[in-house]
Amino acid sequence: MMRRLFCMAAFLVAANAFAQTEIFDADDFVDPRELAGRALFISRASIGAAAGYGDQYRPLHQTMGFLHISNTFYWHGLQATYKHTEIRGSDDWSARNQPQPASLPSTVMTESLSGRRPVPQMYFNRDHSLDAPAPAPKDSVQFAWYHAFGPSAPMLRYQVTGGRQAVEPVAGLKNAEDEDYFYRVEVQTMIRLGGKSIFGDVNVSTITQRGARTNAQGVPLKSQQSAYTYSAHLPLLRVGRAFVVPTMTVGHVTGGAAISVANPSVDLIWSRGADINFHVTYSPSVQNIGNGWKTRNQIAVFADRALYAKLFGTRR
Amino acid sequence: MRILFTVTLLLSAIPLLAQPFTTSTVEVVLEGCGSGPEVITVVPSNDETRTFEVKRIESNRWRADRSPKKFDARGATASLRLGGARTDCATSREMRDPRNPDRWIAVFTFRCPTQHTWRELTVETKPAVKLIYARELQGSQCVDARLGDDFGITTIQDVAYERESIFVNLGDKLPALRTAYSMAILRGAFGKHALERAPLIVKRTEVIDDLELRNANSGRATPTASGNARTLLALDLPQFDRLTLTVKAK
Repeated sequence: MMRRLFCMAAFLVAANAFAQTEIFDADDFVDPRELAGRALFISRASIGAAAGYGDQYRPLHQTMGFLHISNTFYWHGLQATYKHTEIRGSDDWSARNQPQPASLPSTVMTESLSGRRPVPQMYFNRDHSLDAPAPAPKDSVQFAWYHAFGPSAPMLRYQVTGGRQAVEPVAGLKNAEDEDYFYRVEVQTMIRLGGKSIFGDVNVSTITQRGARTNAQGVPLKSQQSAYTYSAHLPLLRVGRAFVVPTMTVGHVTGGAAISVANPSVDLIWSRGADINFHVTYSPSVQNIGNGWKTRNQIAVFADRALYAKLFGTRR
Repeated sequence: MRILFTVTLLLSAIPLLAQPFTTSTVEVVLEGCGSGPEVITVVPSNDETRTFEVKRIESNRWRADRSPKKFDARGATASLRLGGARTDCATSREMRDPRNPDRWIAVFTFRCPTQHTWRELTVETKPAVKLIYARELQGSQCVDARLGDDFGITTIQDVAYERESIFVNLGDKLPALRTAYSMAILRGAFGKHALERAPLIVKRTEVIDDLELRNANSGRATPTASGNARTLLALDLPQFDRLTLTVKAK
């Protein structure tokens, strides 16, 4: 029991992370009991477009198209995933406008002046410019462990994610250092409330932008955004031949200005055959930066399809 | 020494106390049905592949000798198929055989069923796939199961459609009731109901949808419509085009 508690606590405190997972990143939960002792590999592609897209609560301010590929291996209650995403927007990063100086924290201004050299844009939750980096390829790896506290108890997943996204290159800096790093820990929970099971995810995540820049004292600089959220998974509904998957996320983002967020999401899924799923996802992100609540409407239309699926072993 | 003797004596007495009332004779008492049919089908121990018939010996009593198959006359379970009606299961009690007091008889007593019943429910798969079903009366402790016929058409006798649920697995693994990994073909599954006289046709995609929805909302895991979980369902289901459910009521 102590060991279980320790594991849970370790997951909760080990990382400074969050993240609003990408709107086009379909869930990949597979109950190991359905695998019945077998291993499973699935490669899945999603393709589509999104408007009002927010990359981990940072708005992109443009419509973007994406191709997202995930490769997942399930084995004995463990899951390993590699994901790659190609994102293309209407705004090329080389044409991107600089944030208005008035909106930047004084520390950034000081650093720019003292460094006297090109400085990469910092896209974190400054008061009026919570912008995401311009569209660019992303890669991530995930490791998950499934566990149920008994043979018929609910199956819960504990997952860690690490990833990177290239950001706008700046002349004079090495490309390898122009990257957005993100880490995420997700702990699934189940609460009994009024005789019903309420499933949810506790998410802790961090985005870190590292650069070769140093301050006047020669200390390397890095900026960080952390988010702490809880997502409740509500029961699936059937509407004709389609499913409606509702979730509700609330949380808090720190690192620069503190933001409170409420982020409901409704994913309408229509499946054609066994493999192709069409999604229309609406996810308004309601944020309060301290000067009132503002809503950003995210809408994504995309399709996902299993490219390759293979079962290993025999059912027990 | 005395304690050891007492323990030995008690241990030797246990087999005598637990002595089974071994028999091969089954007697059925059906109350409230009047004279009833000449022959009744008995489903023993929840297994519809081992049905046998009992013949009327009195107005409300039927009997069969299943020799050489012997079983314990106390505590066995069985239900009846009456050709247009079915009973819930009953537990047997032992009774001395009036023809030979040294022998035992297993007596099952049933109340005459009153619910509406389909005489036959036919489940057809195209193309033919292996199928296994389990049926359960509402509020009953018993579940009767049987592997379907190999040629793709399985006939289920005497379905009490108002009180009965039928769970089907495609394949030969017995469906686990009240979990998601089986297909419930009655009680409005797939947004349809087999009460209609026209055949109920269920496509493979609908079967996957039904399993996915019930998996997601079973309370066993997070309710998600995971594409990978759906792909796993498709890999596990045998390839078939559609299921046709036909009700043959008489």
